Amino acid sequence: MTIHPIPQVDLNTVVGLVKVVEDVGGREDVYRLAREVNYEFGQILQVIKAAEILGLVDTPGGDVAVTDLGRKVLKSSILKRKELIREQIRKLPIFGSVLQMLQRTEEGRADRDVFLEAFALFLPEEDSERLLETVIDWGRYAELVGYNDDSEEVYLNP
Amino acid sequence: MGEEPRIQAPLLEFDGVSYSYEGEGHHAVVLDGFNLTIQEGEFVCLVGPSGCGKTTILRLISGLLRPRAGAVRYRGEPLLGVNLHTAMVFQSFALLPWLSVRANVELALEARGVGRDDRVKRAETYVDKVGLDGYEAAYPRELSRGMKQRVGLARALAVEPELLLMDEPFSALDALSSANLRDEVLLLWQDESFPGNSVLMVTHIVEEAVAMADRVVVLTSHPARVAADIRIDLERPRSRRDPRFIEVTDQIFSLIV
Repeated sequence: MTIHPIPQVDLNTVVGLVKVVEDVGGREDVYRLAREVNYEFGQILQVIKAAEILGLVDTPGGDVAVTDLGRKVLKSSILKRKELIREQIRKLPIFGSVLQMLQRTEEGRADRDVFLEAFALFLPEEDSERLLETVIDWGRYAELVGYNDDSEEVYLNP
Repeated sequence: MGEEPRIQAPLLEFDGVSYSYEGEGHHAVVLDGFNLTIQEGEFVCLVGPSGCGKTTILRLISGLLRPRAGAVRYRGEPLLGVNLHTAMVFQSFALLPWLSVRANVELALEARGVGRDDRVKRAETYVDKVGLDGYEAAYPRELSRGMKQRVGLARALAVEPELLLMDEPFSALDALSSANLRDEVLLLWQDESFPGNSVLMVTHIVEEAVAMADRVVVLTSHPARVAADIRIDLERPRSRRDPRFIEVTDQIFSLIV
């Protein structure tokens, strides 16, 4: 099993980034963008990376440029946006791995520690807790997985 | 028969409204002979310096405060109690931490006397509408600020208010999340299935008001007065780089400073 990490950012900021870049003509210098939205450079890079793996922006030569898909998302209703982004999230390898782990369990649910351990083993340089939080957040958004905070279990979205 | 044809009353009207806070040894006049009218279907933004009485105005509209003098009229009738035609989105989200997303939305409906089956159905509808499908069982502590404010929005919309009140709804969010939420609130408002179609939003960010509103009402403080009432005729979505956007933004800044 291989697990690829995802940037630990909120999807609201990802779509917000696409919106802000589109508002200034669809392409912007990364440094200037960071200044405009009052983000630290490292922070904005994470958001850009997330938008890039979701296919919403490209990063040609130090700039951020909105892709056709990014533009399509902005022109869509809230539900359609969710549908488009959901399709992108479903393609990310980390969700393939997480779903596979859940499908191997009897009831399609597993303790959070199972994932923390797997992330720690395969991605020792990542903060497992934060990565799991993001996986749960994006997984909920994509309606792939749910999480019960009382029993601390991740489950397959029925 | 015998009914005289009348001009339809505005949705909301402040007619010579005065309000002051009385404390031990001090007396702060917030509003003094304040006038403001909002028509049905308008998206109005109130901008002004902090402490200029914007929140007091929202509380008078929701019926949580009563004017000391003058009248607040809703569809021509003086407001005498809680205004059930309005719902509020708060800056601080105001969610109950021990309740799930779904339960937070349902609670607002329960408080308005909506029956159980209808509550469940409506909560589901509005959670879905604001893009929170999949988060129903989450607790507020598990959500980002942007997602929390979506819950705040779902809760207010589920009440199906005629007039949606928003008190600095994006000011607790970072610039990117707020850009997204602003955009999505406009999408909701422009959608035919938006319950009610009138919005009154308080903000201290001039660009935000110009980006969103049909009318920007600029207030001065102590006591609050309308310094200008500016119609924004630019088509949406609006670009901050549009010279007309910049012009009207500068005009409003010059009134505030």
